[in-house]
Amino acid sequence: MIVRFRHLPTLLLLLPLLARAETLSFERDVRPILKEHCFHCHGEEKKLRGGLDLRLRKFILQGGKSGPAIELGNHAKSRLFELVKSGEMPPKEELRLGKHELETIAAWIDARAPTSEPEPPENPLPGEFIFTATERNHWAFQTIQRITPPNPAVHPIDAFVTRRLSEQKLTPSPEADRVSLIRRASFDLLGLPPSAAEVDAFVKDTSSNAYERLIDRLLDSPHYGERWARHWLDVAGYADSEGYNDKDIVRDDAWHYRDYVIRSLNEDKRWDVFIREQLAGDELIRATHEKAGALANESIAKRDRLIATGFLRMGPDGSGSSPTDPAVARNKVLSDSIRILSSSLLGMTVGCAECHHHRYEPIPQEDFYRLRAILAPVYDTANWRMPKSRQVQIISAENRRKADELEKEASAIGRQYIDEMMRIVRLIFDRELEKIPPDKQEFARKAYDTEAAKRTPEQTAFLTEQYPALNVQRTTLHLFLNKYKDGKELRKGYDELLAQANKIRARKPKPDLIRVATEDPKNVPITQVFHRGDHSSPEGDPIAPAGLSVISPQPGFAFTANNSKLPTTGRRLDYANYLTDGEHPLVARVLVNRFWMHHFGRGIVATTEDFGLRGDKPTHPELLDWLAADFMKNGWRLKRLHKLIMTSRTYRQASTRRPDCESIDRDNRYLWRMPVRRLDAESLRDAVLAVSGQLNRDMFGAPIPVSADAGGLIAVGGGSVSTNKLELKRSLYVQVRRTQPVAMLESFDQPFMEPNCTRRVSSTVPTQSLAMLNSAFILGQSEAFAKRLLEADQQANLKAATQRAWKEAFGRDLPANEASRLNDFVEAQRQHFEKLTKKPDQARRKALATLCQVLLAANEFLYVD
Amino acid sequence: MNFLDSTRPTGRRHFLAQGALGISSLGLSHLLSNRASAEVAKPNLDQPDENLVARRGKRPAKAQAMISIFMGGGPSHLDLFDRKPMLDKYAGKQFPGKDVKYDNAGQASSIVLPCPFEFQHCGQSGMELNTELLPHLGGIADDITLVRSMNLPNIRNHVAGMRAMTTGRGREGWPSLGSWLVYGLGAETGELPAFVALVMGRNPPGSPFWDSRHLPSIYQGTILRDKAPRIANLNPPPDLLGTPQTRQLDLLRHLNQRHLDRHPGEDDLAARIASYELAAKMQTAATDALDINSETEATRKLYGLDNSTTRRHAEACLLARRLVERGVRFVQIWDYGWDMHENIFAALRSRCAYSDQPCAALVKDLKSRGLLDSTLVQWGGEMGRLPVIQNRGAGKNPGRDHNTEGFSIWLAGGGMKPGHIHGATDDFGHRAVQDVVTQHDFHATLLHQLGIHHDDLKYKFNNRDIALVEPGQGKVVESILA
Repeated sequence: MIVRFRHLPTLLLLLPLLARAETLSFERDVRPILKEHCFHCHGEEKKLRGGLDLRLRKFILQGGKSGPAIELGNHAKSRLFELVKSGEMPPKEELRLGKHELETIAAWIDARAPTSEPEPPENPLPGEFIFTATERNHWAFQTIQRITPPNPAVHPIDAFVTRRLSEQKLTPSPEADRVSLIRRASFDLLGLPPSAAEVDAFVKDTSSNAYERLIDRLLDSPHYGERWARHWLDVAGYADSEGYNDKDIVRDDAWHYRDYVIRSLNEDKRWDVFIREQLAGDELIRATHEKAGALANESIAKRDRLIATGFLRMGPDGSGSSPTDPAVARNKVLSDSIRILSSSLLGMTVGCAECHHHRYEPIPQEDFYRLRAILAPVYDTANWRMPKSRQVQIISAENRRKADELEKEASAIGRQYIDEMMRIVRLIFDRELEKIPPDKQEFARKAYDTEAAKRTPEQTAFLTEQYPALNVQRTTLHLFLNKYKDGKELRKGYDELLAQANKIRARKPKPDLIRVATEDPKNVPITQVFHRGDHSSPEGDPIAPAGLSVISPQPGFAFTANNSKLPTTGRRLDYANYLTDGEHPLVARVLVNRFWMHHFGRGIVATTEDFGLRGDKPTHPELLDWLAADFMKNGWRLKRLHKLIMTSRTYRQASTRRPDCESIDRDNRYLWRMPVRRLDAESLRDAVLAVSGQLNRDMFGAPIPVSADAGGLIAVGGGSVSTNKLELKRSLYVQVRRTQPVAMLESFDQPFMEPNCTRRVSSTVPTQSLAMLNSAFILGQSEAFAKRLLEADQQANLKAATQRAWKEAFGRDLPANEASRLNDFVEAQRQHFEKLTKKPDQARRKALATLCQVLLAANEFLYVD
Repeated sequence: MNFLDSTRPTGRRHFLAQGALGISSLGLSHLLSNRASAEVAKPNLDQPDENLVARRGKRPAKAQAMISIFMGGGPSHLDLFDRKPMLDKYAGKQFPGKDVKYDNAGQASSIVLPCPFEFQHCGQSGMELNTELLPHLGGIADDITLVRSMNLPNIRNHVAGMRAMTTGRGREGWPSLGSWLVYGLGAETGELPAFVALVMGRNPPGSPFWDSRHLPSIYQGTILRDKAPRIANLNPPPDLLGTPQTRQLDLLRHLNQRHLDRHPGEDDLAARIASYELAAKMQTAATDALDINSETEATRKLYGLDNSTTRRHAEACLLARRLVERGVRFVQIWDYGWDMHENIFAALRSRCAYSDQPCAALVKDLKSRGLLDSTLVQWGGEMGRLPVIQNRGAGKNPGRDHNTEGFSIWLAGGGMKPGHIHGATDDFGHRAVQDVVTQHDFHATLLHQLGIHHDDLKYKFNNRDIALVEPGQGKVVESILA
């Protein structure tokens, strides 16, 4: 009885699957399960456990030591099924198969184990990585298609989007109102709200190209580069501290890279060039570790190329922070750099292949080490260079001249200092000479006057052993002077000269430090696979530098290990050229998709960092390809792409939800409306500062330090503002300490850089609300906002100020039906404060400030339509 | 798994924000609840509502709230809870066991390290504990359930271990236990966050372990810091306190409501309105909850509040009680300080001196207030330690390396069998061998006591059900239930 019914529950579960059984295939349905749970021991290591290889159907039928693994058509009699069903396999509990997976395998066996493609005639050796056709044919690995938009009469983006909409029986939303449009465009391109005047000008502009001119104006704003630098810095993992352990040493050399990114975006640098500079700027100018310093000071262009390589130096680097295990810390720098590189440009989770073949993606473990081989000459773990010894000093020509002049001045005095010192040395010698027997004095003087290297052994012995007191030297002079009463007097002369020289030297303009990736041609390490990712267990043949093998131009393709035309290996330059040659299937798609996400809140591929088989499918694959191809064809220019996107009807849609579409596509995957988006942390802080009138719009420069404020929270400048108002600069310029995130920014989801952030989250927690209600920052800015409104027009009454406050904060006019409510609020607050303080002016300002605060805390301010 | 492997992912919550919250349809008044509305709560979890209305699971619940004292880093079970005479017998000799997984292979040794501390049989139950370091725990032995057979299959290292214990998986990016509980059971109070993470010192590596991830962000844990300000910006400035801020909140609510009217169905906007309501109430309620000055002298003494050694832990434990008392569903205290690779005996002595009294006091205090029955307390980390020496510090001051295959935790209240020991490790305390409890079993059991069957607690995400306990995993450990 028991035996008879043992499989009954399974069979019942299988019923819904039977219909599917026809279409089941090994490659699509079964292999991914086996790959995740079983391949590790049964196919992907050189030794097969139990002699069983599960990578191909033919191997499964052949079976292992205990016979065939399956019996075609009968899952109940198949050993493979029995073992996974009972939980005996896989032995690791965590890897055990779920219900659905068991059902799939059973149904597949019952359907006589169909495959969707012929299996290779040859038998790959155990441990060899096999790509299936399904994997090779994965959409993201295919050449980017040059597609013609479906309707030449409309904007190409709209043509693609509209077609998808109508397929889904969805309709686009009408165009958003003008205020929403300018607010949306301003936050998208500048990360700042439009001023009331800018809104008015745009709303009143009835010319047909008003919107286009708005976009042009925004793209020309220097704040554009700041906004879009932030996006790229997230992906690059920009931080002003080394991270890794609690020391979290401050990086004083990273910010030039941040400024380089801003400048590059503002000048609309081609992205292929931008990428090449960041991956191989040093090789572009034939720099080596040794020569980098000289080249950095040769020209601005060369300097920028070196600064660009900071991209490869952004990950945490704990090698100089006395790590517990230096070897671990060094290897971590490399691993993090590979993670940043692969998530930012390839959109693949390559990091998972550090320890073993990727569980889900066609990424063999070797691929991780191929990428490692590209970066290894920068990061030779055996001849490691600490963060400090990787820095390059830079100084402007003018400052260099200034410094040289001052140095000249200082060394002249320095020479006087030496002369004076030598005079005293002689004086002391003469005094000491008097103390030895007169008959030896002549010999002593001669010995002393002879250069140390030229002395006879007798002379040397005489001075160092017999009469060491005679061996007065500059370096030991102070010891002698201590013996003499007039010692202090004697040293005064030369001490003063030294102080003078030092004072001059202190006035020399200091060089800045830049963070660069360079190679030392003397040390090019061999890269090997690390067994299970353990750096102390390298194994196998040296790995050649190459990209991902599943998209390799031909099998075994690799870059030259050492380019003889360059002083360095040239691996990164080769790789950068390969990534940007227009043929790479991932780079342009990944970039364009991320740009799209920053406009629409979500990518065409929602998993912007994962274009693999496990990642999301593109909602508009053809549009993605068209955008990527168009981007490359037109010079990899981002500003052009912005304009293209933003002039589409799709982008200009209203954000209102509509029940008819809502019921079909609640997530708005097909873009029947614009999503409502919350401001990210930096935009929120910047917008508050902009509206309050406090924003310091100065660009670039060293990061603004952060520290704990009086209440113990980490704040910009410790919560106070210095006279130069640096603390009121945009959030982009605030120091990024990995262990000390600014409380205000952190609470609004500013990401931790460990090592980078490919997509931000947007949470809603009460601590954010508390920050808007009670934080010193918001309170201070609300006061400043009120003050600004009252100072702008001394005569104005509170009603007028209220109206302006509304307009500045929201961009639109205060509607009549809200005005009285707001006025009543301000009046009630004013009376309250006046009663309390007896100071009418203060009460007015305070009352207005409480209104300003409400406006800044309101959803209309926090969200963009 | 790398120790620091934590690529921060995903904007899942971000598109949830644009999508599937389903809040506004319920109306805002339902978003936040109080004890009264618990009576109209839905009786089952077939379709948990995505709001904070208090509700019950399908099963009879023993506990309503939970306090987890997470001792991160790996408290040594061998030196605290699980005495092994074999360690003395083999002291200084080769460890005869097999397959020791060292996480610090470079410093590994196979020399057995005995435990130098005194163990005693405590209470009527005779539970054997290290009474030299844990005298206070010894005093409540008859109130706790000691699980000596924890094993996290296939999990290595701290981050993976802490993830496993808090999210069920070693992988990054899953909703935490507290979020699941609040999703399943809603909140008992509309004045305090339902899920509080009380973090002592720095956040543990791999944080946050209080993230709602796939679940809507209303289920996220709110951090309570271990020093002032415990909740950032909790107090209104003096000149706005009272009427001026109340007026502000009224106006804000009005403006936000108008804004929401223009954005029908925009759940994130509704969630933020609710979040302002909660924040406003927290100003009073949390201030009150955090004000421990009103505690009696006896209580202060019980916890060790006035002793500089125990003060920090005492405050944390006392706050946990005060929060649970006020209807907070889940409080997790994080103390990441138990990773003792060197000088382990001195380190344990000092760590226990900080924490033993306060933790035991919490159980006693809950009991005397009649709250222990409805509050499940759990103490433990993500791993134990190995029976062999780790040679950091050149042989002097030895330590022990990680051991995720065998360690102890204890539970109290919430319908656990008091004075009971469950499971056992092998003779050397190396691996759990008898009545093994995995993180899945642990979670299934907790949920069971809170009235939820783990298979019922799921959330539809991208057309896929996700759950704390994956299907097919997790058995309720019946034998530890009262």
